[in-house]
Order: sequence, then C-alpha cells, then structure tokens
Amino acid sequence: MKKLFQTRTAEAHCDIPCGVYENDTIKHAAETVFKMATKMHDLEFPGDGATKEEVVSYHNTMARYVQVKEEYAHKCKEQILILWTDYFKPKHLDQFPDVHDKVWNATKLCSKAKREGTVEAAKELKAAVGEIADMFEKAEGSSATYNY
Amino acid sequence: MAPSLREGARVLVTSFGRKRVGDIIVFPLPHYPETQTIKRIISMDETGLVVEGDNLTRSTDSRHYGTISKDVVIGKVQFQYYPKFRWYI
Repeated sequence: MKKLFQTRTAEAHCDIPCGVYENDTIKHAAETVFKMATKMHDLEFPGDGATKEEVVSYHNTMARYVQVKEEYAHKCKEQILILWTDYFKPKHLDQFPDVHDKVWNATKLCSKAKREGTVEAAKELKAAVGEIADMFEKAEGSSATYNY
Repeated sequence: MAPSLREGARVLVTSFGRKRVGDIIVFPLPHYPETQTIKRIISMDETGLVVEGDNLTRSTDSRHYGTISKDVVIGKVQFQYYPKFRWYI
C-alpha cells in the first residue's frame, strides 16, 4: 500500500542544471575589451632614447593589457553562445528573426577584437553586444508573466 | 509547467491508463535519469513522445533532448489535489 501511494518529486523547472541567464556578463566583457583596447592605444611608446627599464615596462604593461583583452573577448564570445544555444528558444525567433545573424556578427567581432586589438574593433563589438543584450531584456520582459 | 502547474503542486500519477496527446506525464529526465520531470505530451508516434512544458520560454523539453521513449514513462497525471483540487490540468 505504501509503495502504491508513495510521493515523489518531479521537476518541471527550466534547465537542469538550472539555467540562470543574464546579460551583465557580455556587457561587462565587451566593456572591458573596449577599455583595454583604449589603454593599449594610449600607452606611450618609449622613444629612441628610452632606457632598458622603460622598454621593459612598456612591453610588460602592453602584454598585461593584451592578456586581459584576450581573456574578456573570449569570455564574451562564450557567454553570447550560451545565451544563443541555451536561452533563446525557437519561440524567440518570431520576436527576433535576426537573432542568428546578430549572434554570428557579435561572435565574429569578438575574434576581430582579439585579432586587431584596435579601439574601432572594440567599439563595434560593444555595439553588437548591446543589441544582443537588448534582445535578451525584451525576451525576458515578454516572458515575465510566466515566471515561477 | 506554469501556468498549469505551480511549484509545490501535488498531483496523483498513475502508471495505468492510455497516454494521449495533451496528457501530463512524469518520466526520468534524459541525461539526468535520477531526476524525474513532468511535461505535457505534444505529439506521439511509434518513435516516441514529443513533450513540452507549458511555460515554453523557460522549459527544457523535447525541443532540446528530442523525443522520449514510451517505455520510460513513469505515469500520467490524473488530477491535482494541492493547493486546489482540479480534474483538468
């Protein structure tokens, strides 16, 4: 009898492991890439008469900026792809028919920011990430009534 | 499964009875079989069942893990008895 009427829990909630999605990470990552690119651009180049220390310091600082830029451009790409593959569902395509193009474009721009390291490339990335972040916010807003 | 079933809802699940499209069923979650999940049958054929949660934008279901086999189904929901009694869910 006990076995017949045993109570068990069935999960109906979203992703297992539970997917909590946000757009802060991509915005923060793109902003960091932009800041690093700006710092790289502004870093003063040691002139002909520079001492060895000045040259070493320049390369060290530049390497650190580049390293952070690379790290965050990679993180940005990774998080955009997570939103694309895990968060956006077929239903969202009605609302955002260009989501695939925008993701394609933004992730390509992550690579461009890595490859070129220019302020211009970082600006383009920021703009593209902003569009994806907006789509996410709108999608969240439209599904808010069904939240658990 | 919102809005049909809210978190904490209690339902009676029976292993008998023919499963039909529209029924809510309980089955082990593909890839995580120790977890049981509850979804609605959207369509069925000889290859298996297509299940979806009612809360489409939040649910992870056949759209992600594909169809599920009829053999793994633990049972179907007959009615909800908590927090409110409801025959039709």
